[in-house]
Amino acid sequence: MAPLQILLIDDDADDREIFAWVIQNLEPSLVIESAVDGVEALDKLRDDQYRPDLIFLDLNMPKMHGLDCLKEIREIDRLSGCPVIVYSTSSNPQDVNKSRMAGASDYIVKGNEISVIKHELSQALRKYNPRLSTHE
Amino acid sequence: MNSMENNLLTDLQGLEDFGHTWLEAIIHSSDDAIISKDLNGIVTSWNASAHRIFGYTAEEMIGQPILRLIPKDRWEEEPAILERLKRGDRVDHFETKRLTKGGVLLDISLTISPIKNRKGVVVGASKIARDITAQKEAERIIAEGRERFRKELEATVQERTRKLAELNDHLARSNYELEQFAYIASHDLQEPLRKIHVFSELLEEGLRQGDDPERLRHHLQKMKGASVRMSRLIKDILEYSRLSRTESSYVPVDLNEVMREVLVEFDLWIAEKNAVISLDVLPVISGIPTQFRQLFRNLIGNSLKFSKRQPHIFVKASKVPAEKLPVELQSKSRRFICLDFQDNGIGFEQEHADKVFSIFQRLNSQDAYSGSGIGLALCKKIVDNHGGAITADSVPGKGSVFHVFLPA
Repeated sequence: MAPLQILLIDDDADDREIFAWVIQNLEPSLVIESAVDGVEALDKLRDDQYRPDLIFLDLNMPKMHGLDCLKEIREIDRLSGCPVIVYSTSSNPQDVNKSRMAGASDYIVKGNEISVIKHELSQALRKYNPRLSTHE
Repeated sequence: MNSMENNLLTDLQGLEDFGHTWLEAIIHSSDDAIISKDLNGIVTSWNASAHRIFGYTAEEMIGQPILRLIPKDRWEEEPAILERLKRGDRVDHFETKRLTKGGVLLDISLTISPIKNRKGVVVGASKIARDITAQKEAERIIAEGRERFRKELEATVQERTRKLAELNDHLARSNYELEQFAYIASHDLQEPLRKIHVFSELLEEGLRQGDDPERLRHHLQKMKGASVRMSRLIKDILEYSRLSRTESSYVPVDLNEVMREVLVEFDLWIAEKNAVISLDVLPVISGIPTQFRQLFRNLIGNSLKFSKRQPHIFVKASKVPAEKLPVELQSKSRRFICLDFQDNGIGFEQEHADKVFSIFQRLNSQDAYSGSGIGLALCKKIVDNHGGAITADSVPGKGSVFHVFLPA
């Protein structure tokens, strides 16, 4: 079975590093691709060869806001079944609502502690990828 | 007839004559016009004041219709008056308009009483006309004054109401902005704090697992970087929020002086980047000196920061014709000058030209060009404070021009 592929779209290099560290800790077999902004992500996603199993998407990014990126992703038929989880530091209810409206599968607020981040991400992996049974 | 009777008759005649003369004297000296007419509206007597008020002599009027005095648009008054007189009714203090010989329209108060013969049959009318033009004029002036006062009061109330509504709007907007600001500020403030926390945990974990020192130092560097960002952010937020209070008084500010000070601050950076800066002679403008310094510092700082090659920075000043002003300034009947800050930096897509002025809005990743995302929002606020506007033109890879419009 091919390894599960995750795409993380986040402009913050530190957050990309933390995310990768946590995911590798939870499930070393997962393949993580990352894009530094929405434009780069859409370039990757429009390539027919590339088919991630799960997308994590930051909101406040330069060049293209996460919500705009999300709307574009939802236009790609090939990815209609791919869960997109908004992964943002914003806890603004407006952002949560707008994300749902734009087609986000879930909304995770970036945690301030490794244990919280681990917990949130492992739950997301379990929920959106039945092939995984990660343990915290 | 004996002499006694004769004398008596002569005396009675004398008395009657005396009575007539007496009455005539009263009528003659009255300040009001006293006129009599028959039931056909023909004038039968005309006193001195009638002459004085209406301009016609007794010779001119006696035997003539009273209608001569009545303006055409009031002709229907006469038959109505005559109708009442025939019934034996009086008309008291009837206010109307009458024409003089010279064509002047007078305000007149009329009192008209029927004249009856010995048998009690109405045979004519006596008419006392008082010229109340001056009184009417005074009333009109008072009414006008009252009306003007009412209108002014109404206008004042309306203006106050409008100002209150405006203030309310402003309050509602600033409340909303404050709420949004709190969310965004907390988001941006959380970021470095979160990093410090997480990297300290990773450092702890690394120490426990005996990671190599390079890896441990990496975590420490991340923490240090985050704390630097945090303190800069707090400083910038404070600077930004201070701008909302603009009680500082305006003074003439020599922008050349401001520019000199800012360039001195950037001394090292300019030398390091080998930047070339060309300046026009800048005007003297009324404003808050510290805010102009912040404005110039941010714009010049951006041009130095967002550059990949040797920076060429031009600052130009020009007068702007009204039609070239941004829309929001066109309604203001003032003259504006425009300061152009032009560079050959990395630029940005023109579609982001408005977005760059929003607080915490960054077009570039923190890794490539660090910043709090407050600089241009600060510039916008300063220019707004001074009743101006700021716009941007940019081409990615070629450079940007920031146009600062300020009241001349």
